[in-house]
Amino acid sequence: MKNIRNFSIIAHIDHGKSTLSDRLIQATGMVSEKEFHDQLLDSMDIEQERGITIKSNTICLPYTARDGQSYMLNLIDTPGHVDFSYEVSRALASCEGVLLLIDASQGVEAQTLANLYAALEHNLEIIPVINKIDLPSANVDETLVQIDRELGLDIDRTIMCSAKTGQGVDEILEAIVRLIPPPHGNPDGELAALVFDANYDSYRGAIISCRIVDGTVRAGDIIRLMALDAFHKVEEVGKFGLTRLKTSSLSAGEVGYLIAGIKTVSDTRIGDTITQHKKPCAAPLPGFREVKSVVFSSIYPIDADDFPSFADALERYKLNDASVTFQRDSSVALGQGYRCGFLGLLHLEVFQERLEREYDQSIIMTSPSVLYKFTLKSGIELSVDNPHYYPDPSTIETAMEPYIKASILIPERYMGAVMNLCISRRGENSRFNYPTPGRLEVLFDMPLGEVIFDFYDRLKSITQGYGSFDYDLIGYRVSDLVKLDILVNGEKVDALSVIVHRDRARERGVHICDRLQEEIPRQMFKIAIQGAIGGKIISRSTVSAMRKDVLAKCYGGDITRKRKLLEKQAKGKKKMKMIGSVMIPQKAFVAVLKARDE
Amino acid sequence: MNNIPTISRSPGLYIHIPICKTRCRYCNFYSRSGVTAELTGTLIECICKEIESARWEPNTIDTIYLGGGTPSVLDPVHLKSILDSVRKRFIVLEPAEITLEANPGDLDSSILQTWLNMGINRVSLGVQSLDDAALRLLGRRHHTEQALTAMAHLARISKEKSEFSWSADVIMGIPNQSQRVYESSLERILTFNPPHLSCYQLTFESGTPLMKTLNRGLIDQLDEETEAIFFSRTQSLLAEHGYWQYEVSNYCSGIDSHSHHNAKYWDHVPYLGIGPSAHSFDGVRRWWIVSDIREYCRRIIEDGEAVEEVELIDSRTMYNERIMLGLRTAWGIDRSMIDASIQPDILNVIKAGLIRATDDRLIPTPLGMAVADSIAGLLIARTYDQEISTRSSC
Ligand SMILES: Nc1nc2c(ncn2[C@@H]2O[C@H](COP(=O)(O)OP(=O)(O)OP(=O)(O)O)[C@@H](O)[C@H]2O)c(=O)[nH]1
Ligand code: SF4
Ligand SMILES: [Mg+2]
Repeated sequence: MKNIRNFSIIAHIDHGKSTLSDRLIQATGMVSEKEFHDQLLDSMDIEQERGITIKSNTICLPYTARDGQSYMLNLIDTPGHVDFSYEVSRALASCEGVLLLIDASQGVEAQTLANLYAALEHNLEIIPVINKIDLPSANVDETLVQIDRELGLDIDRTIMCSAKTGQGVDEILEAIVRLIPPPHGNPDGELAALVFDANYDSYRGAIISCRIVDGTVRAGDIIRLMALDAFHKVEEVGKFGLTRLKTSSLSAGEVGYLIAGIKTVSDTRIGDTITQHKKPCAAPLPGFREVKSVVFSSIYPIDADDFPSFADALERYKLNDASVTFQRDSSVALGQGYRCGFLGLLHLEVFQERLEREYDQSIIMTSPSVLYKFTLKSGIELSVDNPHYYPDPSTIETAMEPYIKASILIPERYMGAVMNLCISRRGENSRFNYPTPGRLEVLFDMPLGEVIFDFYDRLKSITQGYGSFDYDLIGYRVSDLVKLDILVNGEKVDALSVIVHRDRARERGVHICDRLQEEIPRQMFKIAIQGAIGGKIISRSTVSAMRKDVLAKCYGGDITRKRKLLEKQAKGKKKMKMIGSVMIPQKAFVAVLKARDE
Repeated sequence: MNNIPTISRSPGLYIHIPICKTRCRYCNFYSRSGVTAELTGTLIECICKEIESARWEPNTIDTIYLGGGTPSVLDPVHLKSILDSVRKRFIVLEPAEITLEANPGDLDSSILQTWLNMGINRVSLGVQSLDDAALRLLGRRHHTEQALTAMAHLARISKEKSEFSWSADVIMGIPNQSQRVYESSLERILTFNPPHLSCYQLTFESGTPLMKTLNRGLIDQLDEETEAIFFSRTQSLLAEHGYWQYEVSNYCSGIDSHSHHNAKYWDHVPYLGIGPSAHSFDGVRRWWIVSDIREYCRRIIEDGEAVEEVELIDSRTMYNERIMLGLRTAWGIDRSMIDASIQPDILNVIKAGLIRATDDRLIPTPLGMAVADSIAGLLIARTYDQEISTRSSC
C-alpha cells in the first residue's frame, strides 16, 4: 500500500489537464504509439468533439521511480468547467493529493481557486504546476506571484511544465511519489469502499468505480450496498487501465471497479458505501455533498408511448452522471416526464446530447428555468423552478431571481453590440478589463434567467463566433416576475409556460407565438395562439384554416391506396401532441427554445 | 337535398378495358396505347373467360360499368361478347345500370345506337374541358367541337328515352386556365342538361408526362387557396343549376340520377372487378388483378385467374374506410359506428362548420367536403390515440 499514490489533476477549464494526462500516460509506457491519440482519456464523442473533459477519468499507471521502487499511480483527470465541478469533488474523495495546474498565459482563474478550495477541504496534498510554459505569451513570473499571493501555496514546490513538449513531466512523476502520501487504511479491516462513479453495461449490469478505504474485496464475496441494503455477489474486480484490467482483489487504498451483476440500476447510488455481508463496517462513509441545481427543465419522450424505455434510459444515465436531479413531472400537453436540475447551461446541453446519442432517446425539453424565490404575504417562502408552481400573483409579497456576474471575452470591435445585447437582457453595472491588447472582457451583473434563453446563441452570432461567455452566481435580487402562459385555441399549453420579468414578457410572448405559428401545420379550423399574463393577452398569432384537402377520385381501385396513406398519416399524427383539438408537432416545442434567426 | 339515395345492396360488376388510342398526359390509370388487334382479341377473350369462370357469390348484379382505359374504342362485336359473357355468368337484375365510358372522339349517333341496342343505358363522357388549349395541355385526343357534338347526341337520346342517362367528366384547375374560362366551359356543358357531372380537381400523378412538365417548371400547380376557390365555385354554380353534390367530385340532377355503380364503392357494397388492374371487394376481402395485359392474358389462360394481391378488410380497416369514404358523400357516416371517445373531436369539427349532425348521421357540409381527407385523418388518428391510451392504462 505504501507504493500507491492516488491523485487528481485539477485546474480551470483548458489549462491542460487532459494533455498532461496524455504525457503522464505516455511517460509510464501505458499505451503503445499506435493506441495513442490526443486527450486519450476523453473517451466520449462529445468530449472529443468539443475538446473539453466532461467526466472524470481514472487510469492506473505503473511507475518505477528514481528510488528504484515500483509504484502504482492512480491518476484521475477531471473536468475544468464549472458545470462539471461535481465530477471534481467526487474525484477528490478518492485521492491523497492533487496536481493543481495553472496555465502560464492565463494565470489563476475562477475554477483554479474553486478547485483548490475543494482540495483543501479534503486535506489533500497540493502540488502546483505551471503549464504551457512553452507558449510565447507564458508569464511564469507573474503566475508564480499569483500562486504565492492568491493561492497561498509554496512556490518552491511549484513545477514548471509544458504538457505540449513534455518538459517537466519526469519531475512531476517524481514529485507525486515524493510529496503525495500513500493512502492509509487497513487491508485486513472491515470492507468500506466508496462508490464514486458507475456505468451501466446491458450484459453485466452496473460497473461500479470505487475507492477502497478499508478492507479487501474479491470475486465471490457477498457485498452489501449500504444505502438500500442490497446484497450482491461480486463477479469481478479490477483496475482501470485504458480498458478494465481484471485483478484478483482490491484492497485498502486502491481505486478500481467492481461488477456484481447489479441489474437493478437504482441499487447503485453514487456516494454509497460498499461493505461485506459477513463482516460489515460499523458505519457508512460520509459520501458526497448534495448537488445544488441551477437550471431546470422538464423532459419528455417525443412519443409518449416510449415513456418506459425513456425512464429506463434516465436511470442508467443517472448512474453515470449523479449531478442531474430528477423529479417526476407530468404535462397535459406532453404526458409523463421528469423535471431535471442541472449545474449550468453546458451541463443541460451535454445531458440532452448524451441522452440522444448514447442512450438513443428522442426527447423534448421545455424552456429552461432558474430557481425563483417568492415571499408570500403570509410570510411563507417558496422556491419555484417550475412555472407550474408559480404562486397566485395576488399572494406574492416579493419575488427574487438569481443573478450572475457575466464575463464576456471579445475582440474589442464587438463592444457596442455586446453592450446592447447585455442591456437588453437586463444587464447592469457594466465593467471592463483589457486582459491583452485588442481583447476586452465585459463584465455585467445579469439575471441568470436572461442568459438561459438564447443568450449564448445571440452572443455567438453578433460576435461572429468570437465571443466567449462565462458566469458566476452572485446571489438573489428582487425582481418583478410574471408567469407567461401560452394558449392555443383558448387552451393553456402547460409545457410552454415560462416565468419572466414583466418588462421582457411581451417580447418572449411574441417570440413564442411567432414560432408556434411557423411550426403548427394548418388544420381544419383556424388556430389562435396567444400569450397571456393572467387574463391579459399580450401577444397573438393565427394559423389559418385548411381550405382544401381531399383527393379528387376515390373509386374501387383507389380505396386501398388512399386508406393506407391516411393510416400512415394518422400514425404520424400520433407523434403530434393534442392540445384540445389542435395538433402540435414536437418540433414546435423545440422551436420555441431557439433564437430568432436575424 | 340530404336524403340518402337508394344504394342497392346487390353487387356491381366493373370491367376494365386497359386500351387507349393515345395516352393523356395526366393519366395514371393502367392503360396502354398501340395495342395490336391481335392482343386486343386475346384480351377480350380472356376478359370473357375471367367473367365466365369468376368465383363469386351471389349471381345477381344490378350495375355493370365498362371503364378504362377507353372502352369506347372497342369494336362493338367485342363489347357485345363481353356483355354476353356477363349475362351467361350473372343474373342481371332489372332495372340495371349499364355504363360505358366514352371518349367524345369515338361517339357518333350510329355507334351510340349500337351501344343502346346492346343494353348500355348510361354513357360517361370524357369532356374534361371545352377549351382547346386546355385539352391540348392535358393531351386529350378530342377537340371541343367533338365534345359538343357528342353531348348533343347524348342529350337527344336522353330526351327520347327516359331510362337513358349520361354524365360528363370535367377537369378543374388546369394550368394556365382561368377561373372564368373554366366556368364558361362548365356553363356551356350545362346547356346540354347532363343528368350527372363529375368535376375532378386535376392532380399531378408521379411518373406522368404532366408531372414532368411541372417539375421542369413549365407550368404551375394551383395553390391550396386557388384550389379551394375552384372547388367552392363549382359547388355553388352547380347548386344554382339544381345539382346535388352527392360526393366530393360527383353531382346529379335528381335523387336517382347518381351513379348507382360508383355509389357502391363508397358504401361497401360488394363489387367484382374484371380485367387488368381491376379491384374487387366481397365484404371481407379486397383484391386486385395484375396490371399488365400480357401477364393477365397468360395467367387467365393458364390458371383461370390473375389476382395480384388480396387484402383482408378487418373491422379496424373497415372502420377507417367507412370514415374516409363516408366523409366524401352527402350521406356521411352512421353515427352509431363512431366511438364515443372521439366525440369531442367531432364536436370541434361541427363547430368549425365542416360537418353537421342529423339524428343518425354525420354529414360533411360543402366546406367539409373540401377538407374531407383532413377530417378523416383526424378522426382516424384520434381513434388510434384512444386505443393507445386504453392499452397503456390497463
Ligand atoms: N502550447 C501549449 N498548449 C497546451 C499545453 N497543454 C495543453 N495545451 C493546449 O490547451 C488546450 C486545452 O488542453 P486540455 O488538455 O484539453 O485542457 P483541460 O484542462 O483538460 O480542459 P478541460 O478538460 O476542458 O477542463 C488544448 O488545445 C491543448 O493542446 C501546453 O503545455 N502548451
Ligand atoms: S383516355 Fe382515360 S384512361 Fe386513357 S389515357 Fe386518357 S384519361 Fe387515361
Ligand atoms: Mg480535459
